[in-house]
Amino acid sequence: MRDDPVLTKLLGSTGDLDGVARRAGGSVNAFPSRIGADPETVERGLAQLVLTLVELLRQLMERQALRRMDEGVLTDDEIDRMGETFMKLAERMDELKAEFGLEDEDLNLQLGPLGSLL
Amino acid sequence: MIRLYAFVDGLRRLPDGLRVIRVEGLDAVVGEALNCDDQVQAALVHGRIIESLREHAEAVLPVRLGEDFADEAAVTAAVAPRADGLSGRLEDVRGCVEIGVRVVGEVSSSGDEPRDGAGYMRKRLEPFRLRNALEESLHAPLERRAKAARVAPFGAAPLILEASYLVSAGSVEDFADEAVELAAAWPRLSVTCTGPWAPYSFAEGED
Repeated sequence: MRDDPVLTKLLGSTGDLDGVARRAGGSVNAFPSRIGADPETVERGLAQLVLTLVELLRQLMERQALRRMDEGVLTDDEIDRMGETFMKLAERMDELKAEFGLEDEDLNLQLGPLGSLL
Repeated sequence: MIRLYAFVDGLRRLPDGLRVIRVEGLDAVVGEALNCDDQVQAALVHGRIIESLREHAEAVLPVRLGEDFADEAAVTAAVAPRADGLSGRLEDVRGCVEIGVRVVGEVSSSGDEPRDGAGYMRKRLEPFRLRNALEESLHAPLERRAKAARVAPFGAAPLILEASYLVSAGSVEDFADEAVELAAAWPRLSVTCTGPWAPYSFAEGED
């Protein structure tokens, strides 16, 4: 953790600091990655990119559905059908992640040195 | 190959190994591109250089990692068409730093796996509402205090909210104090406030 820029920049915190330290370590490993041109890694790299975009769309749609649910504009039947769709999509995503050896933290687009998409 | 690190103004001291190329009145800081396979190390080196520039300049606009060019002429050719916009953004961040706020926590909800669509949606609703509440009670007051703010659209559990604020360098302590004070209303969550950083999240200007 000696090189961890997050911990040396701590201005203030509340709650579980151990948890924060674990998260901070993870953030360093999440720095930008690129798709390797090596034929053996290019498939995984492309899968990572495609699944990241699918995950972004899934989260966007789910968020919109939750907003409508929270506003009370969806019927019970609509909620159930939407939930079924999102649940199946999440399960399929888990299968594809496992197939390509990807973890949740791999499905993220880095938008800058310290920013990330998801 | 040379690597572009940042655009600066009012630089008082240039860190070792770097040099400045002047393009259309804009100071671009470059150095030799490090051939480093370890991306974490490359990112840390990049971050340290930019933070060092922040400490010694009146304004710094960070460039994302990996902007490499064959030579100074290539840097000039790439920067010149965008010089006006970059100068404007450099002006926007003058005297300011970035403060990051992250909220992490486990959302208490039934641990059972949902059996149907309605159950899935009910399980997802609680973190959705929690995030909305945090945006109102924590993010909104901090945004009002900041010159600009960016909030990440999503957080993958256990991250609930992540936001960046552009604040005057002189008001970092006050800003952090307010963040911690507001966070006290959420004792079950971990809230961290980090900085001051170079304005990474504000280098691209308004969305």
